[in-house]
Amino acid sequence: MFSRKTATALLLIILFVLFAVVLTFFGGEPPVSHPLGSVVITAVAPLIHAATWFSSSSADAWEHYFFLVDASYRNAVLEKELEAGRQALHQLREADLENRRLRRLMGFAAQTPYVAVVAKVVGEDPTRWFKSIIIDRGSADGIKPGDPVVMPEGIVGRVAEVARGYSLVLLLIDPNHAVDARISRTRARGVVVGGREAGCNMLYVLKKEDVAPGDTVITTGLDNSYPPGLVVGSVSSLSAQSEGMFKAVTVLPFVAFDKIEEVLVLTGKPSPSDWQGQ
Amino acid sequence: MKVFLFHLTAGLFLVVVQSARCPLFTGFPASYDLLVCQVLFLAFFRPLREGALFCPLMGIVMDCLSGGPFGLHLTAYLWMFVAMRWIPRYLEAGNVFFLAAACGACVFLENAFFLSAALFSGSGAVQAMGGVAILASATAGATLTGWAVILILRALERVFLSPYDALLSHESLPENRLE
Repeated sequence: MFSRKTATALLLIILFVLFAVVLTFFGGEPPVSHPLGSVVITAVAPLIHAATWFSSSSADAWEHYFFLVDASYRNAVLEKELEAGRQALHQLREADLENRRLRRLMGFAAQTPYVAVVAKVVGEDPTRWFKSIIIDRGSADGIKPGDPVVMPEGIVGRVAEVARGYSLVLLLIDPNHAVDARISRTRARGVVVGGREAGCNMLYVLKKEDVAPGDTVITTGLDNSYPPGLVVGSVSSLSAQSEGMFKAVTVLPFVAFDKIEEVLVLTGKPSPSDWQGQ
Repeated sequence: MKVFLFHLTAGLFLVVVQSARCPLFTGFPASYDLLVCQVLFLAFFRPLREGALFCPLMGIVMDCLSGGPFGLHLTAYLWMFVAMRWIPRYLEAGNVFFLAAACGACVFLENAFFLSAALFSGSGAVQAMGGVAILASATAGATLTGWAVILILRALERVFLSPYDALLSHESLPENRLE
């Protein structure tokens, strides 16, 4: 009925339409854990780890042995910064002591204990479209998909894929990452969605809410993905959109994602009832 | 076996270079997907069966290592391979300029595909603005340097695979073989 060329062309068109339809429905979904992913990560992550170690060692050798031209100038600058840091530390220690006293007075419940696993970053996403990292801890260390990943500065992301010795972490700034959050000062709620290098956007913040640049954004814990009260970032800019009910809020994360080297993975997530009183 | 190891080693090397944290090159603004160069190399210089095996394989590897939805790289590489096997029948494909243009075009199409996937996910105009910048810089980087990666693969092919190819002199190496 059809010639061979026509049949081939028809088959290619049908395949193309099929791919387009499938990707339209599934292309916007965040990554889900699957067995093939853990196999590939187990096979490739050690190579990436070795390459990262080699390049870091070479860069260290360059900086510490060959690139000392401005070391004296940098030393003077760093000493000034250290002195300023010492003064700030003293003030923070005083604030911490006061915080502890007030908490005892108000009878706050003890922090729910998490099992925190320290992990080193050994690789990153091979594309610029998505933001993820590979860490050197996996299921052998008790890590599961969905475990939150944090640093002292704030939240980093969530574990997306787990192999035996390595894990793939979807970063806060990835467009597929979302976290329920609130403004610490006014408790206005919204959803923080990643925006790659531009930082994050806080969606669904009502126009009537009081939000100002500099406000700290924290997690609510209501989406059951992060513990409540973890720092996300600060509001960098906002504008009331002419249409709709919501403001456009830009959030700058506190974590410097291009510089992170070690992270904490919070395993052994407690039930939401354990978060009462926080 | 030798062919399998050659392509697998080349592909994994390109993946590791993109994924490892290198203090000097992390965040390089004109970086692009180096595996596009391997896809083009397979399309222009190797038999159909090798490209038909390794393009989907490397697409699956990239999808598993990337934080994006599964299937994006696999789809992009497959269609790139199909298109680049077909186009040289109608275009004069005899020099480095064609390689540079092909590399730039494929990276542009791949990034345009990812940008449209991001828009379908409902990310909106804010994401699109950042995506256009990535698309432009990646295309420029691929046009300027992609042809060199393909020629390096070509040179390595001559060193490691020429005895194998001599045994297969009757096989369907593409009639548009670039000399």
